[in-house]
Amino acid sequence: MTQPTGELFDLGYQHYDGPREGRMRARKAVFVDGFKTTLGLGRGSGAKVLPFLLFGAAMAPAVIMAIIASVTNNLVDLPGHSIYYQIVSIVLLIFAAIIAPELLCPDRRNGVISLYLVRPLSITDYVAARWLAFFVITLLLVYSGQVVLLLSLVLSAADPMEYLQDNWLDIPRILAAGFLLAAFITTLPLAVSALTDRRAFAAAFVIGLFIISGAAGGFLTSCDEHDDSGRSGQCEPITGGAGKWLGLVDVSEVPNNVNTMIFNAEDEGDRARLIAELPRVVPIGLYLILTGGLAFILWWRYQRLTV
Amino acid sequence: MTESHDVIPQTPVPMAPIIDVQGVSKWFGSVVAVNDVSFQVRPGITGLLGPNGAGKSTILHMITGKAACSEGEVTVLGQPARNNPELYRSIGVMSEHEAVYGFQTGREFIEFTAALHGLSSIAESVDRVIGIVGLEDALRRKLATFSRGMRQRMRLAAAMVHDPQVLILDEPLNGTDPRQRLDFHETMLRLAEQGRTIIISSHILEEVETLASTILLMVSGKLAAAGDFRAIREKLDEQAYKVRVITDSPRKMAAALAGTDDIDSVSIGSDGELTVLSRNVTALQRSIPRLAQEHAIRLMRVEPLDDSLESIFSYVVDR
Repeated sequence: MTQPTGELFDLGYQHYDGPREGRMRARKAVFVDGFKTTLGLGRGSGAKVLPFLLFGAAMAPAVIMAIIASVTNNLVDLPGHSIYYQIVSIVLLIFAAIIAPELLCPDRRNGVISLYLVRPLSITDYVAARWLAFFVITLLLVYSGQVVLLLSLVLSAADPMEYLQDNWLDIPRILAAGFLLAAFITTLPLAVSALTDRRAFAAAFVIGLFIISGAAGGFLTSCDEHDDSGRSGQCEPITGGAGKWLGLVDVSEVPNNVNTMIFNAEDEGDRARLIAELPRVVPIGLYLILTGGLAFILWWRYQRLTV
Repeated sequence: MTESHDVIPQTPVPMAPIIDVQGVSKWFGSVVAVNDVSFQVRPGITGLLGPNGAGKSTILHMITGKAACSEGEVTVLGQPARNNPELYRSIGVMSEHEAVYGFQTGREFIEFTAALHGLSSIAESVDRVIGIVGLEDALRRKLATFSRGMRQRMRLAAAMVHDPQVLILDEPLNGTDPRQRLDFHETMLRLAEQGRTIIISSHILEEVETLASTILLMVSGKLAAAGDFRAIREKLDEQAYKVRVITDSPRKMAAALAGTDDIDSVSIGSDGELTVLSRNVTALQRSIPRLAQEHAIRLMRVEPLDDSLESIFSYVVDR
């Protein structure tokens, strides 16, 4: 019978001699992780369903418009880029309200935030990288739809080149308006997520805010049916002269108010018509103050984070 | 006045302090978690010991810059610990309650932390540390399927992935089995031999007693002892303890106590309370009830007058 033999190997501790990159590498790691988290990549199939479902819903209007344009051979007037943003912003807001809290709430709730706090990046780097990850996805989403819509408009035109020459200004407008829309719908849910550890609370608050403020804005700017002093084809709001200001309470329309100006479009709705009567600086100022204020809340909350 | 405790280095050659804690206090509202603590830590392994709630994690949070000091100053490698992200290139931290992403595999987790440290040779870094914690076979498994001990080892690997000069480990042995503890000890000793500075906190003395020859002992937010573990034990043995004894027959009890070898002195106050000084508090604890029974004395209260010292003694000696 042979004696059992054994040997212990000293694995030793080796030094890391490879290159060490700057802080940007850490920021990039948080950004990539945020990007994957938003889309559910690297997780179970269940985590991917909702993001891609909402992604599909956001793209659907553009795809439907493209199909209509090709099937009807340009017999139907397709809605413009401004209208497309208004339609898709509702889906995007729901997408952001549900998905964005995933980027911040679980890290704090489960204590994973400590993992970041002891690495060579500041808490501002962490928040900024998370914000940027969601912003880039949203931006891709809004631009993708607009590209599909633009292509369908160009290809359905009798003379595509002439269409492009006549409407080339739409391209910078699409870029600018999409940027503002994406910045708003990224910042709002992330700022709310910074104030609660529970994703469901953050999502419910954001969706509730849209519904309540939207209903309030719609009601406050609705027509007074008993008013007989109205201008031709228009009606006075039930709130009288204050209606144009009260129309601003609809939070979900804050980016759309600015987008309508960027596209120089005329919105037929009562609320939009009233807001158009306001000095241009008002909707722009409201957008900047609200988005900037929310960004500040997000930053401030994380500066005060204790673990 | 703050007294600075100089922790004795393991190597005979004196070296500059790597961690310098000066007059540090931390309070949360009206609760004082750390009270005017000062010490220096030099290369080698230092055990941060103390019962649960002693303030160990709070002081580690301040050393790692995760929490601001209410008062005082902490420097690591000569730099301020707070609001200094670049410092984390030189220190590795394993927090007590840090969680991990359950959906990540072991490899993904270490790769992610390597990326957070800005390492370029990520695959090499993972291979380098994973062997140390002995989890090569678990690299492809999701962290959610790991046992607590395995997660601890994976987090230890993450704390070491960037080859830090300073390692700060808060309760690193929680959930580990004896074999893993042995491996952990060997790894830490090897790292210390290379001149690294390692702080290991624990509420279980045995965990670090064989590992760290120098200790920082915290009790109730204060630094109760610092230095060589054996020297502290000897000093505690030399220390006389003050105990108050209240009985229905103080003179009878004083006479009985005076007849034993367990006390240094006994005095009777004007209110009839006995104050007993003893260097052998363990023997005293046994003598008092025995003498009371033998002399038919009714004991009403026995309590230490120096609670802090009693705690240290219980912790270090009465194990």
